[in-house]
Amino acid sequence: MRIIEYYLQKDQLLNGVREFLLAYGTFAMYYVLVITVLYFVIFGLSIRHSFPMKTGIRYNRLNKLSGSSHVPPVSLLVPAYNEELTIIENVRSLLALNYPEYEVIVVNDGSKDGTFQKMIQEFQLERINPFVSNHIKTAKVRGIYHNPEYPKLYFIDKENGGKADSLNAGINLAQYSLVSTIDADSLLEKDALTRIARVYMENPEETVAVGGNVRIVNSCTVEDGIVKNVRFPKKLLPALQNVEYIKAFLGGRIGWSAVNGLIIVSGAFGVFQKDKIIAVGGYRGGYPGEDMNIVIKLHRYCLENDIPYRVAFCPDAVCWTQAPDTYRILSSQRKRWGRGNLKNMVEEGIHMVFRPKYKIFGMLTIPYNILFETLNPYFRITGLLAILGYWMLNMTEWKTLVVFAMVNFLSCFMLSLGALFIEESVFSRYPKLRDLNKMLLYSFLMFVGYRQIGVWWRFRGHIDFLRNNNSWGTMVRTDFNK
Amino acid sequence: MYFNVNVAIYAVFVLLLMNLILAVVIYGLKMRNIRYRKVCEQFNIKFKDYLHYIQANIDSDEPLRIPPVKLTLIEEKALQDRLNDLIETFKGEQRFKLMDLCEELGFVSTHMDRLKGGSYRQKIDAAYHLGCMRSGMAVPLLLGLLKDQKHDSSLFIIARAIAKCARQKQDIKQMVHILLSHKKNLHDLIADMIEESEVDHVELFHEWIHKEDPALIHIGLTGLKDLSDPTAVSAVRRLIDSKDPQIQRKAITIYLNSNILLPKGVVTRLLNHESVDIRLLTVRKVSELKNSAYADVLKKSLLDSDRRVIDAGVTGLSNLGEEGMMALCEGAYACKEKEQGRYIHDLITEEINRLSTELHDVNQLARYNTLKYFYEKTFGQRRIYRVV
Repeated sequence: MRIIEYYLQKDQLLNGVREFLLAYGTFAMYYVLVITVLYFVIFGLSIRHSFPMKTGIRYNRLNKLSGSSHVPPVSLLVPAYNEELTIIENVRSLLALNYPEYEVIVVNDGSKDGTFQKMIQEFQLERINPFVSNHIKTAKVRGIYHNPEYPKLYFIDKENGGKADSLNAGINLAQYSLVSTIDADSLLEKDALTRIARVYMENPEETVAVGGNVRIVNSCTVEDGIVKNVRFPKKLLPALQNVEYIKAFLGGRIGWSAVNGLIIVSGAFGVFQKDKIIAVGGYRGGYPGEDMNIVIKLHRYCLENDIPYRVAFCPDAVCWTQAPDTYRILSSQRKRWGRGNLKNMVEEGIHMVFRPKYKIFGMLTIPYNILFETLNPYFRITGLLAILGYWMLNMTEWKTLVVFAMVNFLSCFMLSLGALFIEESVFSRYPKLRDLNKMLLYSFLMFVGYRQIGVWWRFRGHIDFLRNNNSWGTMVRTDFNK
Repeated sequence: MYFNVNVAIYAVFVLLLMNLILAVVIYGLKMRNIRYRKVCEQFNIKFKDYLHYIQANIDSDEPLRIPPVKLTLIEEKALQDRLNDLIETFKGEQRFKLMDLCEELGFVSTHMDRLKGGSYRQKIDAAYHLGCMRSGMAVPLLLGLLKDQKHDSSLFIIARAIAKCARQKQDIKQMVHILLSHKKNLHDLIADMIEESEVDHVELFHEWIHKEDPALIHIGLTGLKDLSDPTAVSAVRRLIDSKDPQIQRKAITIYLNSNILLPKGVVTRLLNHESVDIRLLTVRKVSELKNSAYADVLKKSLLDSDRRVIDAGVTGLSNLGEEGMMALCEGAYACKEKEQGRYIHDLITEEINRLSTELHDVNQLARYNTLKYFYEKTFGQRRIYRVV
């Protein structure tokens, strides 16, 4: 009798599990369908808008514009923490930009290495006492340095307060109405600022921010701070990140900017209206993801105050950055991104989601971000567990799983191809045929482990968030030509 | 839920096919780009002598001749690009010769045909090239194209082409009128485009600053900002009292940049302006003149409520020699009980300390002695001289 009862209970339990798994499967099916449709819509918009962009890029004579007195002056903010290996080359490349009027403000965020000494020695800087506004509160500034022989260069030495705090200190010193944020491990192309200025000048009042395109510098030849020979990365991880960046920037951001729904302007390179940044209280300190946070705050501020605005993306303004080439550094970076994203959604996104007053940003961008970016690891992990359940409970057969996996893979791969199509038709930055072969190969390899481990890193980032770990994590710099 | 595996299998095949098509298209684009680069390299070799011929004969009296060999379509494109660059590089007679060469090569008529009857992309391409070649006859068609154009990058490609091709002010005015109808405050970009025109744009900018339309005034002021033209100065003086703060600021900037002898009354008025930016701008500009006649005016800026203005005033006075330094110390002493006075006192002592470390430089030594003398004289600190 007890055996019969046991089997009856077991059957009931299994039936319950089966029903649950079936319901979850239905939900997951719609989830995947919606996300795929959305991806395709955004990609469609990206491709659609890449053609007018191509026209703008091709037919605007930048040489003329870079010599014009009508382009807006810009303050370049370069936060630096333990950047002794790359800082000099980076600053030299910034001082050699083709742009009529700009200043470079390097902010040493209490580095523990030789960043401070290197800057002082290399540029023979001397302490000055300029007027510094106090728009935004920052950690204590220890000194401001300058050398009249480098009239564009200013160097702020301050106590450690994080990247956001450094940017805020730079904003306080900046004399121009446009500020540009640039990572100290990145190199700006000579005409990148002019390209962004062109986009800004086409609608100066409404353009509150313009994001630049970030490309991977690993394996490229760098001379005097200029990328001379563009090559596809040789190492596995930078190569995977390369195709990932191309997909995200060209396939995603062009489309999002077309509907004014861009949620992030990369911290590596972006230009902002200074007064708007001050109006939203500056960069949020103490936590990663400040680049996304500032853009969300700008959207919110402009929408709440009925200010016509746009957050634009300029894919031809290129900033070359070093991609992590070891598992440890990459995982640290991705966990940080995961934490930053979750924090931003908890702090800002939740107040804007599905609220019509925030227009496309509240009705599409934020829900998309919460459902398909922030919560993505949970759906992926539970999806994997569900598949295990289907298999163990004989609810499906391998053929069905393979077919659906193929549908998923091919639709995602098509999006990668879409990004490569934009790259090849508009920019064609990698000149050799073998570069394209590699891009296709790595676009495929992304699905074999890299994406899955990315989900895991993001999940670990969320755990760090719950543990209140808000450190920046590991980041090791190498020489640009290594 | 019922999953139809057969439908999913069909989807796999459809997606596979689409992926393949896309991959083929990408490879096609890649091959095309590689081929174009190769053709350009070959063009540079094949037409090296001809390009040398153009550069060597650009100043001669004879018109430039067309290449002695028939060009392929891609070679025509490459040559067109090269000539576009040269036209942008040269001005005056040389530019006209290059424009004539383009006409003789048939580039102008080809692009005119494309502008009349081509697809939208061809029209934009034609507009760009006709603009580079400064083809006057393209203006009416370009204006028509501009009218129907929405606000994106192409709008400015067409507008710039009109500015380059325009032969009469009326064409520019029409172009500006159309651009202003988009209401996007494009003053800087419009001024930049107009400056590329062969038409007397300075006269246009002058004309516009006398108009009532603020947008035109903005463009006029933007265009005049780098000119130290005395007639412009008298014209903008009227706008110094404009109610539009941006117009006022631009007008004041032009006025102060003009390097004329600024009347003290106007400077005093500007130093009492409610906008910190304008007060700061005024102090900086007056300081740049390094004229001791303005010492008493700059002295007044030491009482400003904004530290930036005080800073600029202190810097300006300390660069005016004895008179300036005397005025600086007196100004600091006069308000020594106020916050400004204490701040200026600190700045003076800091400057004295800084100069004291640079006494090996004769100029700095002289500055140190002068500033120290007036400081001690004004603040009543006496040196003790010991006679040995």
